[in-house]
Amino acid sequence: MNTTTGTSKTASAANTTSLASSKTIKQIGETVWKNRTVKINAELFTLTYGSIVSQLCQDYQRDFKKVNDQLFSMGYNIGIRLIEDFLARTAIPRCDNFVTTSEVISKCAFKIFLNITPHVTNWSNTKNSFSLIFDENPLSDFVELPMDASKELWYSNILCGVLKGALEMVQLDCEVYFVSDVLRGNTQTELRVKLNKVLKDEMPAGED
Amino acid sequence: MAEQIINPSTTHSTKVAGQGYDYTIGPTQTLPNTSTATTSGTGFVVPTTGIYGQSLISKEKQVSLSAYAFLFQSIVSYHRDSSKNVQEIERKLNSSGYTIGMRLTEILNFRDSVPNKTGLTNMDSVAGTITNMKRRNLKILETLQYIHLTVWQYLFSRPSNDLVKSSERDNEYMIIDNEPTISQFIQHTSVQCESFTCGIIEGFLDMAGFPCHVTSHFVEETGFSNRTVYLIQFDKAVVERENLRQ
Amino acid sequence: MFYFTIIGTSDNPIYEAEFTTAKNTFQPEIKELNPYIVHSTLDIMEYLQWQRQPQLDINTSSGGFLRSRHSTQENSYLGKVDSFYGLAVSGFLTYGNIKFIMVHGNGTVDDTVTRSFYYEVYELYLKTLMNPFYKVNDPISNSAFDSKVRVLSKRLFV
Repeated sequence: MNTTTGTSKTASAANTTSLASSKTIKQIGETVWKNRTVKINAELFTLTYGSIVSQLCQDYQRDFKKVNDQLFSMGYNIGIRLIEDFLARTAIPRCDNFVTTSEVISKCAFKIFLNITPHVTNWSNTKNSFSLIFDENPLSDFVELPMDASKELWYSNILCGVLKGALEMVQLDCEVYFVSDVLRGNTQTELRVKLNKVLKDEMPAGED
Repeated sequence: MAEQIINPSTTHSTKVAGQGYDYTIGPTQTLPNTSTATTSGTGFVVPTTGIYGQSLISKEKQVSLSAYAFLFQSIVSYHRDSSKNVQEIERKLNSSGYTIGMRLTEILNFRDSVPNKTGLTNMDSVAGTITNMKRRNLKILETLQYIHLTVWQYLFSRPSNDLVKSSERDNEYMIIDNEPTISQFIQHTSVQCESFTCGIIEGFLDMAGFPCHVTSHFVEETGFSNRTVYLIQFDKAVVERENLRQ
Repeated sequence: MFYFTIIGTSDNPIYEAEFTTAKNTFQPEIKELNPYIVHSTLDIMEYLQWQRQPQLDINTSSGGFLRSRHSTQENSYLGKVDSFYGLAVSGFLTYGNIKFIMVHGNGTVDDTVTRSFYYEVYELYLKTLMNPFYKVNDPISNSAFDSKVRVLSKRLFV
């Protein structure tokens, strides 16, 4: 089964056997968060992430481009394994189109891992890229970027890597990057997801 | 922090007060004719956004344990890739936890001093509600009890399983956890991933004035294959001070 | 007029400020001496830091001089700890053993006002500390912190 892009939302809404309504997705997210998730103090999470970011800035001697790349690759390695945890806990079927994918990411995935629901907006005309706006970000509580970092560092860049890795495992080759961040003085925190292409299902070696 | 030349105190500073403390220049004076806080113009612009606008009282938010476990695993891999041997990995994990522990001493005790925490999570300044600060812990045992109960409750939502004083040496104490939360998904290798928690304890105690060294050891017991003992070795000076000031 | 400092764990000042008004400024000779006054108070603070029961020290050889005003309830705010030729010095200890020391130009320490000032500054210090990019003992060069402390200092001038 392939994931198609560019189909309108109304067409997929007619198909009741697949995930169509965003309300269902939201409910799945909330149920899994409430009943099937072991939780831990978010502040410990914030402090741990802060400790690793500041450690990286020190190790790379404040070369923030390298820090961004390292955060991205750490996120990527998390994402390729996180997707299995996600699918196992939510049992969400294959998404019909990219719009549904965006709903699943924002209402379900972020909900069951970080207990936040960013909004999906700014769809491109071809419906192959969208933005996630974060009202709250547990990674960046109490963070203030130093002057030199506030021009180059994307503090939460690990999230981009996680999304890219996870989407790649469901055959979606995407580009994920931050557009703005309140830590850098912008009005909101916006992350952009752009679909490049759908990867063909690869046959495992040794099978036909 | 780069070392800069500190100017002698007879220098007249060209910096206006309200632009931040500069340790090379020294204290700046409040100007005699500043206006009040809320007006901008002449006087200080006091931003209400940013970190000073957030409330220190914890909103008790939570994230999923698996998100934390993934983050922790990636930290362990990062340190593993950049180290040559097991001791170095453990040392780096320890120092990652150390920065957290240092902050916990201050923030957890401060929060305990604030009465009636409910409803204060949106106030950006809670110090006005404090009548008396909670007493600072001056004894080893009091501080360790605090870690065993409050700190563990904060980190892992339960107190630790045991707090023991070593019978052989008077500067050694042990905290025991039957099922350490953060490293439970990591397979047993020769690396002690709980060095991270050791770092948290060590940072906490160092900042509170009890310099020490903390290491973790697996001590299996029936039913608990990950049972970990955190061995806390205080500096001799701490024990001496404890004995002197009875 | 007041000279306020925050001293880190290796006796290094991480924040200094003078709170003055048009009528109330330090004379230049005293202004020079302020850092030294604070420095000499550090000894007293360190003694009081580990003092368990202040009442029991009344009959020590020092004659009760180093007995701080703190009660058995609270041992963070130390009240007036020292004096120097008409200037008074008050102190406060945080849970991480960071010291707040202030020289009072008018020679008296109003406990209520000073205590609430210290509490508010402690809250600001904690918010600075929670920032992962801030390491303990770094100078606090944040201008928002500076502005907020100066606003708080107005209440010292009642």
